[in-house]
Amino acid sequence: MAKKLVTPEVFRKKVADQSDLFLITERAQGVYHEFLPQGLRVIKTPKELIFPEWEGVYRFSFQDRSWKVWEIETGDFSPRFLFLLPCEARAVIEVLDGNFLQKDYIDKNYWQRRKNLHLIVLGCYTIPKTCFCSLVGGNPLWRDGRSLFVLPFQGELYVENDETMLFGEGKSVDAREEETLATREEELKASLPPPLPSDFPQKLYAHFDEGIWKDLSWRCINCGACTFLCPTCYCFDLSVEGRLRGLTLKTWDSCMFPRFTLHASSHNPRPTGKERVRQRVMHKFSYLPLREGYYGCVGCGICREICPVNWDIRETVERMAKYLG
Amino acid sequence: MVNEDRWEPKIVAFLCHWCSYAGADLAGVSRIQYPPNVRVIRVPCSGAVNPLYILRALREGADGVLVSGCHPGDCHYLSGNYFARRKFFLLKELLSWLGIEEERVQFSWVSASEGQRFAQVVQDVVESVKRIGPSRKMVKEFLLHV
Amino acid sequence: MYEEEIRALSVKLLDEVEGVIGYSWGTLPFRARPFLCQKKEDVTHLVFNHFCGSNLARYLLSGELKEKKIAILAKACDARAITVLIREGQVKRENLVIVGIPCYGMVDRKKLEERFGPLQPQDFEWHLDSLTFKGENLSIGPFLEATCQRCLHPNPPLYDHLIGQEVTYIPRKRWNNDALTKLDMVSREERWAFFAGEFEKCIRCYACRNSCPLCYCKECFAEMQRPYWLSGAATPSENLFFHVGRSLHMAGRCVECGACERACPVDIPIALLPCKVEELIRGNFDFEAGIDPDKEPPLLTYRENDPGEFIR
Repeated sequence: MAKKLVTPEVFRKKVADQSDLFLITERAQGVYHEFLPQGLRVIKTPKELIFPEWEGVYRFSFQDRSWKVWEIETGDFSPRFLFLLPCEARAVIEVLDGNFLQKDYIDKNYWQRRKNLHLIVLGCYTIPKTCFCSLVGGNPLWRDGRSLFVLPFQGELYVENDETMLFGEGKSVDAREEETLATREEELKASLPPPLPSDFPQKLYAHFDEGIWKDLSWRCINCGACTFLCPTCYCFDLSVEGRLRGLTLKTWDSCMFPRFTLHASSHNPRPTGKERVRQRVMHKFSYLPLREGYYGCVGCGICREICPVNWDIRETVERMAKYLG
Repeated sequence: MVNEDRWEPKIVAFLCHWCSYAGADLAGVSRIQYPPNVRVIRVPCSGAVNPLYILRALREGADGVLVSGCHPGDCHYLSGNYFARRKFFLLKELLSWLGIEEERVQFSWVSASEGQRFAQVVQDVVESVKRIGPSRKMVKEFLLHV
Repeated sequence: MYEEEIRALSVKLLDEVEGVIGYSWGTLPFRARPFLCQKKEDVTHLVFNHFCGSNLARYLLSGELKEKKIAILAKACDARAITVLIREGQVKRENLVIVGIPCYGMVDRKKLEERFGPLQPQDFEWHLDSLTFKGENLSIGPFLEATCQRCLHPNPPLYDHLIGQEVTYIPRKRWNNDALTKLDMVSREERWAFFAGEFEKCIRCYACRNSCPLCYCKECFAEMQRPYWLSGAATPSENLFFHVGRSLHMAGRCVECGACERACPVDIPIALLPCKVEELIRGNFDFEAGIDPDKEPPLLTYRENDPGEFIR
């Protein structure tokens, strides 16, 4: 893995020169400002670039007494570079890619958007109050071979994994610097709360019918703010627009909504807020880890930040962990 | 798809069964000419027109909506049009406050004996909508892509 | 503020009611959140401060509590919402013990951040209508939520117990947030440019609807399949449809509490729409929601001389 040091001036110039290619998430914007140029396009959540709020899946039309159906192709996207925080990158790489790019089925339109989106992870030194990435196995300096990594280091920028030389040659990292970095990383990690116990998903699964869920869910008003701004939530709905001519729409959906599980028979297996809140916690902290091996939550804390009634997923999970022992 | 050169406005008209619809009928049997841009939907009473009907018509691509009922005091159900007037007032004020062209949503009172007047109202509505051009702000975006 | 009184009263009330709906501190600084207090030992969690923005009347409708005797802490807006709910037959008056609190307005965290930078709770001291920041005494007016700056009714119109003293001034006259009037002044194109930008931001999470104490439809028109009014796609025109539809649905019922605006995760000043409708109703139909339970709501009645010039 290529490691180098770049001066902030060079970095800023490289980005500013092609600023139309670069985007930044709102959260990353909030943490980083000093070495990034002004005026980059800010997006709410990384998923909106690859899994947009709405898109057409296929078009249909009734012509000459028969139905015609066309798939809607998104076409090619030019390369884009997205600055984002480690938690958000983890959400894209582990959870969204894991869901839409499975071995047996690849979502074509997702892949069209994803393949030219390059992630640039901005490591966190300052940790906002809302974050809890260490609880779900992440850390503020999380990175991975599938993304670039940038970290302010001794007045310069430490860049890792820049295969295409996006930020130029730079200076190589010597052994002492590498050691300093490693110690810092260790210190940072040690200062964070420990991860959830490894048997947590299993235990949570076994406590599906606990009365505590009613208590935990009372406050939640079942809006979709958390799920829509969550970088990992990937549930969507399909609806048909038009009668004899129209298209099938794919839109974001949320497990918080009553219609999410409404059957055609009008039976709803998740009739109240209790079941819906339980589903959200269970999906992220039990079903996904048990089935796929990763949590459906990356601990970015956006849901805690924006919840209208301060329904707190960290509090809930910690309370459950304590309750389950 | 809107073809700008040969564009003719589409107007959805909600007409009350007892007055305006009969007025339109009279215009028809009296062979009074009026623009063919209106698509008439008969409703029991102007008071039965939910503002959502109007919004939905605009969403589905109507360039204008006309709602017409009995003159005040003439309602077959005694007061339906009075209730309607309050609802429409709020809808109209709110839409125009938001910046939607006032001509998009229009209202009229036309009685069963006013065939001539109905033709005139349609004429005026179509002309005013033609002046402001095709509807863009409230039409569902996907319609433009189909 | 008023913590001791609220707690003492709650202990007393818990003898006769199933629970007290109030506020507790949240898990993050500068946040208070709805709290259901069912045990006497939990009353110490009950608080009241300038961050108690959520409208608690919303919680009266959640299944479990609907048929039980409940005490509820009610600011003026909450009490007005309760009045509307009673009028509409959603809750029974005899099931409620309303603890009214005169309200000096709720503080907007973002306005604080704008002024003071990153916030530290220990830098602030809170009083009824002022705050002390690092020893400097400031009026609370500029930091209030927009809807609180426009507030006309700071005192609850309906209560069984009243905590503290009634507010003696009308906040609108004192703080005068004229965002609505300002929008009335500009040209239609400018207004459209403003609203188009706001509707662009909406992600249709329905936080506005779900935080609203009066949006209690079992099935919202926005999510209906039959009839299918609109899709869930967050496009500007669909968002406009949803918000206009919702505002008209709230006409004559909205109590202008601003819960929708507070709840919005993408900071759309969405209360402008229902508030505009309420202004129209106030001016033309002489009605305010939730003040007089015996007055006929404006859309259920009419006058022969209602405005009608807009009709051909």
